[in-house]
Amino acid sequence: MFRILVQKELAHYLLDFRFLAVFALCALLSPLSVFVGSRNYMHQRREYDAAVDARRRELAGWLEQGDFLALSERLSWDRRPEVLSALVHGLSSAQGREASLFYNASHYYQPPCQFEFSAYEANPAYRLFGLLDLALVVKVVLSLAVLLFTYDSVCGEKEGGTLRLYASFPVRRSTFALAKLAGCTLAVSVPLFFAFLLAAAVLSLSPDLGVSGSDWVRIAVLSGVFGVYLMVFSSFGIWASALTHRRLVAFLGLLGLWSVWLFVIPNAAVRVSQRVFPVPTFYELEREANRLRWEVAGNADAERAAYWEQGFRWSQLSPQERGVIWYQRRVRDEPIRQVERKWLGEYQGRMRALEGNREKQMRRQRDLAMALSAVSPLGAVTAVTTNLARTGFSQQERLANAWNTYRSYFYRYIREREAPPGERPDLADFSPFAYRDSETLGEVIAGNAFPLLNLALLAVLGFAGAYVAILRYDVR
Amino acid sequence: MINHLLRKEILDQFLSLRFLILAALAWLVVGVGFYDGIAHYRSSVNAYREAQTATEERIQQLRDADGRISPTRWYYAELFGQGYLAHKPPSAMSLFVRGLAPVLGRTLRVKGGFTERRLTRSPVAEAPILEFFPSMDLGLVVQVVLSLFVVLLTYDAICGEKETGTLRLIASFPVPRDQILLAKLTGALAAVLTAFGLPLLLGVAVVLALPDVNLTGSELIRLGMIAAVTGVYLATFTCAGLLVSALTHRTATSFVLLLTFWVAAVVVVPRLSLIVADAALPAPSAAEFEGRKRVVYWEEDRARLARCIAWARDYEGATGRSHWVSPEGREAWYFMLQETKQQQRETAVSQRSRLEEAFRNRYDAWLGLAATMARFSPAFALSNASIRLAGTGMDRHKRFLRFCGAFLDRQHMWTHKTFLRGGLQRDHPGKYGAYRWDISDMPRFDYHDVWPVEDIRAAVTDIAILVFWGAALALGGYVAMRRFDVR
Repeated sequence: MFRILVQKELAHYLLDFRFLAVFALCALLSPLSVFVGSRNYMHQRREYDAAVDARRRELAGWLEQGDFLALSERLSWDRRPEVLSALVHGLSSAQGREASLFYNASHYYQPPCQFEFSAYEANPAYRLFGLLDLALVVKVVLSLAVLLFTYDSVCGEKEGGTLRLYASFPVRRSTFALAKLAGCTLAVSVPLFFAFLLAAAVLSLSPDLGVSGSDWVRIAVLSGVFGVYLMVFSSFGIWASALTHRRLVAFLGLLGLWSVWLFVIPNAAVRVSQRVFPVPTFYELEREANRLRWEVAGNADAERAAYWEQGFRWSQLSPQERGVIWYQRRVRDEPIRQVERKWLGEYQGRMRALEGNREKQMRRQRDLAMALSAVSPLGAVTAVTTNLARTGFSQQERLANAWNTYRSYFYRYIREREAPPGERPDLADFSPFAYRDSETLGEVIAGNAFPLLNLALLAVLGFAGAYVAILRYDVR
Repeated sequence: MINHLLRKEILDQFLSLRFLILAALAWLVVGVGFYDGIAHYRSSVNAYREAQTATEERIQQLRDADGRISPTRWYYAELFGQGYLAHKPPSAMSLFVRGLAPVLGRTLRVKGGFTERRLTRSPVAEAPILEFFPSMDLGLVVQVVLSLFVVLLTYDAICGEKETGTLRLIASFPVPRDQILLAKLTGALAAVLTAFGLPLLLGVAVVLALPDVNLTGSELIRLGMIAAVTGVYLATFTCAGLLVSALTHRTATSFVLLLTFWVAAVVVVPRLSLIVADAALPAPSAAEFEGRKRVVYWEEDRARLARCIAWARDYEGATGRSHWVSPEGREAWYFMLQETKQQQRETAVSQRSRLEEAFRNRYDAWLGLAATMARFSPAFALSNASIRLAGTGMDRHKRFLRFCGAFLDRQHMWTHKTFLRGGLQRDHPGKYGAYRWDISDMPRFDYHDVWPVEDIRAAVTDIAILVFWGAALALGGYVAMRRFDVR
């Protein structure tokens, strides 16, 4: 009997006009979103390739000519766009793409590590029109379509009179409930599976994208996560349908849940986390950096002054004579170099502590926002899918850590190679920054266990709730 | 009879459970939207105040830069190399329509040397979590959520009555079809504007009463226009609901068709139009443009340095000693620097202007094409109009960038003039006056928002398109109702 009931449920949904509409929506939007996402990725990739090419030539020129000044003040690096941003855009347009290094021992300024000039800042039109990716289609449109599909799975049958008929058969309620859940879930899965298949087909038909084997595995996992996300909506749709006796009430209740899950909870989570763990703004960091630099530079100046006075009777020299001596001897004289190394190290250490403190506060705020928002399936699925697609926070954090490590190498290299004026140092052994994200799939899943678990629990809760509600449903 | 019909339609809408639930949801969503908007605005104002304080402290440091032991400190390190930060003030209108404000840069580094003429430190760059989820920007709430609610209020206006049998009854009365439609339209509009317009208006009133929100007269007029265009947008979707409801005989079919229209208008068409525009007229690369500007500057700078080195060599050849060792030599050097700097500036400005014009023309053509196609979507027309009126789009940003460009030119020339003056005073105090570190005449970054009428004129096009959409859909509904089979 269970098999017959499941077949009946499947036939009921597959032959419904709504199924056709949802199927058409999935069939149209899924490949379209992947196509649009791929075009955006290729556009960003072209910009990246042009920028990298220009910088490579620029750097080669500096190293060949021994242009120390240019190397020390104008070195930049561009972040490579992620291929899976075609599916899950995440933060890839909002995060900065360029990072610069700047070293000048005479005024101690090293900007805080930051990536600037995001895709949106470069071309705000992309924000004005909005970016279409598979994640948006699944999270907003398909979730609504799934609710449309399931809102009347129980109460619709009651209104139509067929529920009483089934209840008159010698079938246990539990069998009936399980058959309904299974049939409905299978019916919802068909268009979704087809949508992901079409998306994969579009990706495979775009060889320029350069999707690797590990990317395909991630895409498969992404599809699974999106599937669980939509199952949450499906199960809650059936549950709401089994809680009321009118289709309209069920649908409106589900619409309210959809609005709260998609808009209210995630934004409330962000605002609450900002209140609980406020983070100083970049401008406060800039103020601290200016004060620190002034203090350190003053101390360094005082020590240098003592050295100049002892060696050259500095106070008796004219400004021009001071300028000549300072200009010629600053780099050669070891005591002066030691003073600068000492105070630069002091400045860099304290600056790094300030930046590290702010990063820690931001991480705390972000972790709270992600934890609170995981109550909503949107929060949970966004956290997992962006990390899977390498367009989330953890990738940016790893990149920033790698950049900070490289920054230490860069400062050390420049300090060691600084030559007196007129001399061109040998820069042939300079190593430019290179980075490739090496996080494995297992590490991503382990790192996102909490939101994944949340998503699974919500699905289980929805199914359990629907099961119990159907068991208790008044079919009269 | 029309009065009876009107009364019946209005009561039908207002007394339905659907209206109650959707109105409650609208109050919730709009309320959260206003709260989020206030929080966003306050954090922007906070950040701006901190930024201004940091800048004032920095300028005070620059004033105190003299007296340092290092001879270059007073000039190169502080003014030429580091400079200070200048900031774009937040717009109070971003409270209502955030537009592009979260992703546009707010800060410019002002220094004497080469400065990238681009703004950084957008709110999203500083707090990427803001971009992680769909925001509760009121503009987005109206565009996405409220339009969906309107669809739910109107999808069964006609076909629903047919399914229940009451439409046949009404049609049996001596009432023209257009009066039935008019009554339905009025009832639906009344319900839509009450359910969704009231929380919006109340929210605006509450926000305006806040002590830290001060809108000027021009801003209030623009806010009024945004409210009007929001009303037109909701009315457009109301007409769409009535049209589709009059085209079908089943409520389920009507709803699915309207949902498809909603997805196409809100999600697909605006985004697709960019892709189509890109295929027809590829967008110019901003990175390439910035790179070319940098190359122009550095090439000119290299050429200038080469001229300076050549001059120094010639001077030494003619006098037998370096220019740096004598006051006369240094005086000549400073004047030569000023002359070459002026030449460099003129060449660079001319080349940069040509590059900027070429880029701007291509960009505007691409954007214009994309916007023209996207205007097939009423959602984009609303978004474009309200962003223009709120000043949270590209127009205000470009005005600010133009101001920054002109200011940077002035700052650049002032820095070099100050360097020249300082150098001459140090070497020839008798001729040029005693040396004194004084930056009191440094240009001050003082930006004030202007609200040009062009923004409103540009928004009027989008408003007209929305009105056209509404009229076309209403006309379609009228024709469909006239032909509707009530049996």
